[in-house]
Amino acid sequence: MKPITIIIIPLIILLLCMAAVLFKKDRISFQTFFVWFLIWLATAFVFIFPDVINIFSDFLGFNNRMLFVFTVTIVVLLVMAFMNFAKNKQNELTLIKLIQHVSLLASSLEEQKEKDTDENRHHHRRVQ
Amino acid sequence: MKIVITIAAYNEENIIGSVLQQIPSEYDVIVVDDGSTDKTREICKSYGATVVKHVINLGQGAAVLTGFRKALEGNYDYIIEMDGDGQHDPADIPRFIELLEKHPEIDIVVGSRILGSSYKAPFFRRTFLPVFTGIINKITGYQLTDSMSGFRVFRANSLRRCHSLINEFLEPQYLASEMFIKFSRENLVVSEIPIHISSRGFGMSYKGLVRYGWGVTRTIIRTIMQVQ
Repeated sequence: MKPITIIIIPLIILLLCMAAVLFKKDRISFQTFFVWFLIWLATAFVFIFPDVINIFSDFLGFNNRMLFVFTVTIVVLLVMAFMNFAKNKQNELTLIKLIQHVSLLASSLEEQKEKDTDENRHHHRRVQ
Repeated sequence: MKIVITIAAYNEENIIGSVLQQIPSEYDVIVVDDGSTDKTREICKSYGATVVKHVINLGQGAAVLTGFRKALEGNYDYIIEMDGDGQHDPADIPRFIELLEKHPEIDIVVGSRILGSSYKAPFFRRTFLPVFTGIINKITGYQLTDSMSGFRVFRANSLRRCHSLINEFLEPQYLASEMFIKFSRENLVVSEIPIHISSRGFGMSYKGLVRYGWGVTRTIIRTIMQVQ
């Protein structure tokens, strides 16, 4: 086993545990957990059996193993960045709708409170 | 006849008071304070306006929509949208209402700065406004001269009819383009009258013109994709 494998494997185990804890605490969905679980497992597999890359790079027509690794990495990162961007935009829209809703609700409550205060004042005047 | 004016305001403490002062007392006023960090809210309250406050700045479009939603909670006949920076003259409002009363088929009246003679826009705005308005006209079939004007009067029932649309607007900043495209799909009738514009008193323009142009273009493309 190469030194890099010895360094990487505990790190991947840690990341797998983190994903499991996040899922357990309901911070991420099962799908997200499952995807990350597969990603970390595949990474560990590649570090334990580096020759497996040759099979894939030859199959996909890459002459250079490193080029294959870089290409796959960049594609995966770009896909993840795009997914994050899309999710971020969706969250932004949800946040806008939420703020609008809360603002309207707060305004209605404030109006009701002012109305109640006025009514109370009238009532006190009548009693006096 | 019940009329409400909705004003979207962001850090307009220097000018909002004089805007509210000019508004005749027969109109109800809703100010949407779009996350101001100054005393805009307190000043509006002191003039008796209903204030809806966004906790953070969402953009003018989002603030206008919040204003519409608040106005639709009330039993109003007409909803007026005005800017909070003192550009629009409340004295123009009766002419809007008169047109809507005379022509029940009209749903929205837009105050056109182009038809009004006193508007001296900066060069870029003067150049790009007709371009964007032309694009909007081409898409919607309307014959507007100023699609980006923020002085508009809506028949409340027409907005109620499109209530789901109001909740589905996507663009928090450049609302006008999205609004006209979507309203045209609902067959709402739009007309224009000339309005008087005064130069921005104390407020400053928060939108760079390049950013504005890009934002409007993006909104048009996205709305077309959405309604297809």
